[in-house]
Amino acid sequence: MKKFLKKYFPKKFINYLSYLINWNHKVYSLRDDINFETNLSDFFVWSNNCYRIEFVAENLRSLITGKKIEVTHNFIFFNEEGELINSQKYQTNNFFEKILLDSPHESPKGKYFSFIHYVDSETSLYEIFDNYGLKKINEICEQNRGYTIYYPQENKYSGAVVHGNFGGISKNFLKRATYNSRKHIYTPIYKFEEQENYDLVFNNPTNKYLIIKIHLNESDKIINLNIPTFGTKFFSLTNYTGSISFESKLAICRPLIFRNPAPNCQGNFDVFHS
Amino acid sequence: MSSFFPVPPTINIGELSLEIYGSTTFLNIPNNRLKDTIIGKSYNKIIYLGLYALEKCNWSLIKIFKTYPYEYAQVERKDFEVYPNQMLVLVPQKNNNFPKTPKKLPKPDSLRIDKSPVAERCSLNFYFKKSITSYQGEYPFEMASLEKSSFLSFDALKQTYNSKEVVNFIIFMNINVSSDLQGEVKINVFNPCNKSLKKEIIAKRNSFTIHRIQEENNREKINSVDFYTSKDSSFIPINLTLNLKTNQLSAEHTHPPTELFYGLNKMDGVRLLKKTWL
Repeated sequence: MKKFLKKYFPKKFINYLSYLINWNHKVYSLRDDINFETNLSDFFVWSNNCYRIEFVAENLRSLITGKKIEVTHNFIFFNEEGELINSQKYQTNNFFEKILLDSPHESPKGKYFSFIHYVDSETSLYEIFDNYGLKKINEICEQNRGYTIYYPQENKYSGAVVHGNFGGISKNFLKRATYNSRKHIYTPIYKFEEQENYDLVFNNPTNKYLIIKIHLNESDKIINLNIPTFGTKFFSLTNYTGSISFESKLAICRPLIFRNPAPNCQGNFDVFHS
Repeated sequence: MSSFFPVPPTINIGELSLEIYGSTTFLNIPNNRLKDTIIGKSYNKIIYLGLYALEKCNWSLIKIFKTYPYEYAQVERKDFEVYPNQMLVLVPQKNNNFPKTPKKLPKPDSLRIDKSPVAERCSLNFYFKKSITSYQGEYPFEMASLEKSSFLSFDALKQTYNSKEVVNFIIFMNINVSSDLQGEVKINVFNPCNKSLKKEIIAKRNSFTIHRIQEENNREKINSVDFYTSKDSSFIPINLTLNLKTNQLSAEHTHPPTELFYGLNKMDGVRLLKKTWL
């Protein structure tokens, strides 16, 4: 059936059809066109208690062409309530760059908050595709992914690396992530252990208030989090063994998990995506 | 899309005569689903996990785990008599009818009960002394069914070079359903700035190939990222860092090129990118 549809119908029609069939499971909205000027950023988490945080950024223009092309990596930070607090820029022509991020607060407020990453360059993706004779192609944009390295204590040569959280946020703050009418329950396949401490950090990439219910499946305990647009909230978990589920109207609701959070010099710090 | 759940390898830290060892945690629950309603579905399936090891000519079933809803299965590599990088993989199924010595791995069943997005995953864990690092991973059945594919990755996640304190690894993971595919595959390691070949890694299909990065880069500053390519086979690369002083571990996979674009025509971007490097 899929092959038949792909053969006889345009991609846009199939995409729309798929959107209708999966109307209960929408990740992104369909309302805005994608083009070379669009970019989509993951939603990354800043931890104020870490000694330092580095960002590993990809230079997509250089990766496509195989040549060094000057780009600016931009980082925009939002506080716990989702208000814009700071931006930082970093210029490079490397294929990948490890960037030491400055703390966005002069006087730290809040344990966790969030930031996006987008790339600017005088060389547009359209220009690159045009040079390769693909000028008619549209409906494509860059995803600014990247990885964060969290260093849990001073004088450490290594930290915990993790990729960004689900975002879909463009540089002009357009939010493609969308709500569904029915709630989803996401359960990470992970066993939380009572001898460890965890911070479960959620951020909200949508344009509405995000309500999350955290179910501790072994105790019937439920915790509610209300997160404003671009905001960040966390739940500290201690003395619990078992699984945890997250209920929300997002198609995928996955927190970043800090295991034995910073400051930590015990060597048992870890950060991972649920 | 259903998935296999590999059990990570054992990694020897030569200078310490110590090992990082792998385990896999499975939980019998669809990891994403619609909330139960009057018309929604509840979950009450028993899932069996067939643990297979790759032998010379076939897959060999070495244990079956039975899990009830919300029940865990923890599979530790050190509990089985297998080589450190021998492929050890869990196959989830709804019925307990695993073949004992198949030439092809049985198809894993999906745990999904609706069309909620996200791949079916388990927790892949690495242990060193009392430290653990985990990531949610899987090996998709479709990827394991490809006879020929290609690979492009980078070692951008390696951490600060300090040979006395930090060691970095890339684990190239490859699974194919067919036990006949066990041959060697070349992975080219090169400097992207001048595209000069620095090294060839001989990886194996249906195996974990462990590459210690530090040995290759001891004369260069750590920020010079190497590219890794293969025209013959795909791999899932896991970047693993160990701090020998604090014992801290960190594991993460790198994004495949398909994750760098979005939109209906994203494969045009991927093709362009791969053409440059492969």
